[in-house]
Amino acid sequence: MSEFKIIFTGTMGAGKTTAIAAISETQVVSTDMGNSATDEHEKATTTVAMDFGSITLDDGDIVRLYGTPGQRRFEFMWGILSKGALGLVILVDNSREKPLDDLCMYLDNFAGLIAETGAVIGVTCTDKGPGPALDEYYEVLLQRKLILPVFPIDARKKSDVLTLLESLFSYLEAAAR
Amino acid sequence: MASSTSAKSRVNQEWVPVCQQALDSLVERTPDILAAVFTTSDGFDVAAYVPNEKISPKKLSAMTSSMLGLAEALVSEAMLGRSNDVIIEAEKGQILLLSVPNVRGGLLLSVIANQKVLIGELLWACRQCCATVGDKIGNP
Repeated sequence: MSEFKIIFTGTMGAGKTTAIAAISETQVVSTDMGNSATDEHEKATTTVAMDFGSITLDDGDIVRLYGTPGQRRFEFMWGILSKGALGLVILVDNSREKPLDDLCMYLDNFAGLIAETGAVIGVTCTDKGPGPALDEYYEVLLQRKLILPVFPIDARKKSDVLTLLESLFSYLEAAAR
Repeated sequence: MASSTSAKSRVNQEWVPVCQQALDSLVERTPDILAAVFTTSDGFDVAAYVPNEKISPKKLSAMTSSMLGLAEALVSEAMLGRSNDVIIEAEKGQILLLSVPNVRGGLLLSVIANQKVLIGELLWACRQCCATVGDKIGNP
């Protein structure tokens, strides 16, 4: 049996805490505090340190799920949480003003982890407005010579989040060959 | 004295003068304090005393929020009731992180002091400072 660490990151309100809660077998440890940045997102609370949950795979391996704070002033937590991680899940809220810029910010800030391991992109809130199409996400990745899986997901749905994780593991296996 | 005015739109403006006055008084009474910041529970600076330009009040605020957020989660996991203060003893000084009582939405105080400070005195002064602010802007 092995244990792996996967990081969930993305903008505030993209669904990181929700996604971890959707699949975690253990009660999620969260560090939510009242949200003052209501101009950025209207949600009542925001993650200030980390979320933590875990899930056991069919082969008995345990995946530890760490969620980062989304807001950039907490970027010191991104490096702390990334240490020893096996891979990265980037959640992008497609209803925000510039989702592709959001994606680029996380690609830049987690460039080291992505190069060493791998990443998968989950696009959320696709039903909330005319955001960019998936092709545009792939274009951004290609411009950076990155070939990463991109999926539209509902972070509340366990099956969607599991699909994202399975895709990440397939990517990591293929990259290891 | 350097004070940060960032993200004031995200901060209850009535808190700012109360917190600034409390900080001035705390620093005057405790000369071993090197820096102190009042911050919202999600890490926006409300008032700051940070004379050393190498220390960022914004970063200090965000880190205070993370540390106290994590402390709260840890205390909850350990089933120890409510989380109070965090004390960090470092090679060259001490850091105290506290919550101001009874403030809706949450207000935190982070204080950095040199190694000469007596931790008991510092803790007492900081708790008094938080209580004063809590009395003025809190909702008991």
